[in-house]
Amino acid sequence: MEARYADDKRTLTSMVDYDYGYDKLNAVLVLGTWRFDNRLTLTGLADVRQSPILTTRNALVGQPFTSISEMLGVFTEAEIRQIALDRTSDMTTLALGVSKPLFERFQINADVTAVDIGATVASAGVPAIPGTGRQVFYTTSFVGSGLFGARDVNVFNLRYGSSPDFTLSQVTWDVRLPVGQRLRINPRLSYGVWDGSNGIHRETTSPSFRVLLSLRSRYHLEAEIGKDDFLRTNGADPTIRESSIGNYINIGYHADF
Amino acid sequence: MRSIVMRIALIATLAALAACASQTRIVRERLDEPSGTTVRAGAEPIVFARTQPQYSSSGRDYLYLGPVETNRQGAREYYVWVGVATTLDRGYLVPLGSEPERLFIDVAGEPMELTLRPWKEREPNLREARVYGTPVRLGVELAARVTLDQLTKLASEPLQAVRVVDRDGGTRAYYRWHEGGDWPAFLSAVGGSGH
Repeated sequence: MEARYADDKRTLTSMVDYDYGYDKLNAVLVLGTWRFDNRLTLTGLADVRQSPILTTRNALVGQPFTSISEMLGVFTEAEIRQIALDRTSDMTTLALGVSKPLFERFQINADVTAVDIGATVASAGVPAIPGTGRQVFYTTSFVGSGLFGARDVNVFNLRYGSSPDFTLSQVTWDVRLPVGQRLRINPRLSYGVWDGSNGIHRETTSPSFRVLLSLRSRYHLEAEIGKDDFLRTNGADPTIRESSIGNYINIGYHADF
Repeated sequence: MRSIVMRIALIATLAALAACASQTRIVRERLDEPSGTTVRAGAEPIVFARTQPQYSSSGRDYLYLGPVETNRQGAREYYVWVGVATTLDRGYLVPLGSEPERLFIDVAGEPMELTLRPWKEREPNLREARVYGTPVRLGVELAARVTLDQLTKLASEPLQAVRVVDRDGGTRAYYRWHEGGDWPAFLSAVGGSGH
């Protein structure tokens, strides 16, 4: 069931998905935006759902079977339905965001997002997965347009996250530069620090370079070359210092319909 | 790491505030010596914007409007200068828009229609054609020839929205982006009824 409301300044979208087969609420989503006269826009999201979405096929997770009918050869239907419930956790996402244009070329966005993924229980040979606890992420991005020309877009992003198990800090700079009408180049640099409650400290530096080509048709070609440079240390054991580098190339296309 | 992040955020905020504080409000006048033309314009144009959230949450189309007087040995002409700009990636993410041909501004509840032509075509003898600076690089500079009476009527309006009609017949509405563009002050300077 969905309900939508919109006027000049506000929008509200809500969705409820109830599974009569399992007699369980599968998803409740409420998303709202409110634009004020000073162009400040507030965005709020509440998303409470089963993760993954509750279906009987969830019972296949961690099992050697490829289909439910195959699984029925070993388990009863009631058992399979219970296993599906056991593989499914509760997930709650709450987010509040604010964005404000600054002059004509700049915009600042900030949001705080809290995510809590519940635990799953052990059954049918599949071990339990502990819950994540409440993870809270704070993100601020500064968007600047036309800094190097007419149509470039620069995004400077700061992100900080904390949970019972880790803290995360990340800085990202993403630039999209036009070269003529059909070509865009997209250098990107990201640096992140992850600190686990178990003493593990991880630094990741990720430069990448993406090229986007728009064809005359509705197709776009993309190629990206990048590198992830990891450094991992352990505060509990100073002798541990691991570094590794991962290089990658992605080539793909997408089509607009 | 956290202190670095906070410092960067502080620098970005201070830079934005410094840019805000640099705006002034005066009427500008200059002599274009080769053509012997005195050009008067407002300190800054009025800014109108058109958002296209389906393409971008931060990019917009802009329309800048400003009054201009040219004085060639006593022969005065008045214009509404129109700068067309965008921070949308037009031609790649967003379809290219065609050039505005007519401008409609509501005056006393009635639309005033102004025919737009390239600014350089309106005043071909000016060596320095630029009359208004804009934060966003201009794609096209246009102008509509008006009378002082029309400018006075426009200055008396709140000018919250304007519409343009493209060469292909499409209509686009732009909405006032922020306060600024002191047209009454300009009219006082050129001898019109600014208040």
